[in-house]
Amino acid sequence: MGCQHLSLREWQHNLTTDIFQKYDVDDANPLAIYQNNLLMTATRSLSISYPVMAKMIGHDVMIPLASRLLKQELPETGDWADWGEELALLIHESELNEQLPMLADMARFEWLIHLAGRRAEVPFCSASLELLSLYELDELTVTLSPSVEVFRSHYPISKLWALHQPDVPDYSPAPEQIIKELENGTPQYLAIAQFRGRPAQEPLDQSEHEAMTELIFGKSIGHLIDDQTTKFNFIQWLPKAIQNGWITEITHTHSTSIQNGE
Amino acid sequence: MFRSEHHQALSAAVGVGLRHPHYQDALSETAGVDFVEVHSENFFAPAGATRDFIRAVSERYPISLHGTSLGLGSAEPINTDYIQRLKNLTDDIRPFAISDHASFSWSRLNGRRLHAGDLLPLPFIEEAVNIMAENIDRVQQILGQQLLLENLVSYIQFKQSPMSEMEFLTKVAEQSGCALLLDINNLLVNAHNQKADDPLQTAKQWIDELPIDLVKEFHLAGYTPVAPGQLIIDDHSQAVNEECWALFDYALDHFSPQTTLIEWDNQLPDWQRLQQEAERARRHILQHVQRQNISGGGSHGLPTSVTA
Amino acid sequence: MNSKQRIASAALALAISTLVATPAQAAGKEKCYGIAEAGQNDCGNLAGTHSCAGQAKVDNDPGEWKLVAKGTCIDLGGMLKDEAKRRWAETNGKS
Repeated sequence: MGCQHLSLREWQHNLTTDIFQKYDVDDANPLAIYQNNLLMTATRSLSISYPVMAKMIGHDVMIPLASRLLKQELPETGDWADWGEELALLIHESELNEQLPMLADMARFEWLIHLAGRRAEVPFCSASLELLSLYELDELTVTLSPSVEVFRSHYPISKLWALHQPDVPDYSPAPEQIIKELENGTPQYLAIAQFRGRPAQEPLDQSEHEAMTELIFGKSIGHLIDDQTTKFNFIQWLPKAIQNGWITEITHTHSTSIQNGE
Repeated sequence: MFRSEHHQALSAAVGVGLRHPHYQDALSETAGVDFVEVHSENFFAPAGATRDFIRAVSERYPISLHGTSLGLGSAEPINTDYIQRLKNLTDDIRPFAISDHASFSWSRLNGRRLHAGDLLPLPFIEEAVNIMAENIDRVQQILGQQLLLENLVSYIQFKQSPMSEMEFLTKVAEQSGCALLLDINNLLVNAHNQKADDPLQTAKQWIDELPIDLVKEFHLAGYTPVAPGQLIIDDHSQAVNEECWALFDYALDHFSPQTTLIEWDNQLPDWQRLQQEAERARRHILQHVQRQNISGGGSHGLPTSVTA
Repeated sequence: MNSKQRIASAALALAISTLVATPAQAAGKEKCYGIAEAGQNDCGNLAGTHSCAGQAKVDNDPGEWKLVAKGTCIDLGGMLKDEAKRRWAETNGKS
């Protein structure tokens, strides 16, 4: 390999393109070493971001999964921990989905746990509670923490996940219970956030899930109370949200109300 | 800064690469190593368990931050966000050294941005010298600290290179003001993979090419032996082998003792075994000092220690 | 005082009493699981150490390589799989 006719930039583009896209490379070709290292690094990284997934389907299956994922999601940031977000989508569209349709939801859940463990934790500003006595609820909204995500599934993902946590003795749901919940297919709602430096999950009811989804778009508390299809209990939810680190402050919306809820 | 009692006598710190299986060990016992080296990107998350951990480590050990993704030889620009995350980490834990490799990793694939996720080799040409020197200058300006640049294992042989690897590294260092991290094992892996008749002798000749004041750190590692004719993969999976210790002795005499790291990434032994490996590096440094004393002090005298 | 004002003052009172009683913690002992994740950016070349490296490679034709779960999904005695399959079939109108 030489660079006589290529700029260094072109040569580098060519080498990385060969590593990522050239197939049927002979084992004796040095390119094979870079390709294998890429695949093994990607597989290892994926198994770290998705530890339960790796246990559920087996480590060997993570290799072809990583190989496929490399084709649709390129590493971009220089930190392998940022790579792998599209695994849930990949699994959903793969033949694994027919064998084990809950896997895609598990991947989605594990990615949120992974993110919650890495994002900045912002403490709740207690002083902002005062706004509750100064303004109408229609003019107030709640700012969610950078680490909080809401999750919904028709499968008992949280319990399945807990079944794979040997280091946490408090978590030992019975497999029979999981099977029963699989049969029922009741929707399950969770909030996932960083809590005191670690990822944490907490069950939500449907109205809380709906409300937190709307809060992402800055909807006012008053309108949340008015518009929910199921009753949103703001009084019960607020202390829970503060204690679990889901929210950072109560803020004024500065927007004129479209409607008055009264 | 370095707490080891050996340190005064040896004038060079000896540390180990700190990897996940030893996280608890490192926090529960601090004796045996003068510093630890970690891979920067593993601690980029601004909060959470990994950041908590590295802060706790920084209270117990001097830390050397060794990057794997900076891609200093990339013709595509280094991602600004990456450099900011590195800066956020260095501001937080104040490493005494920051290093990365003479490799590239930022690129494009069908027009899309890509980080190759590996240490990819560079041809030793003038254009690469300039690109790398500019990148190093940019990063050093932002971090406010000198970088150490490590020589690479390359599985691609570049024919008709206008300069040798050592000339290349020297030029980059002189042009950018960075220092070098000499990976002793990488020299030997390259010499073997290039089918040198006497790999140790070849590696010694490479060392002779380097100015004695450019090297500020050594890496020692071991690799999985391969069948004749196969390429050695730099897997950091074994104890340092005898050939590598011999070349280390030669490097000590050439450069005088520098900060030295035992780098073991795969198939890790227990924490005690790793410390024994560091202890052996200390013995080699001590033997070097004794050699110097016998031969009348040596030409360079005792080196000053690396401090934060 | 309208109903939303009553909600606001009740929420304020409860939030303050919660903050006083449990200063931003103690919301469940089992929630703080997890230690630091393993590093995902190590520079020892994995191609040399992994037994599967030789066989795997970046496969050319994903369709050729059928993914079959081999992990704990099987340990659950197949029940998980069968039940999930049945529900999947139902929700896709195939039952």
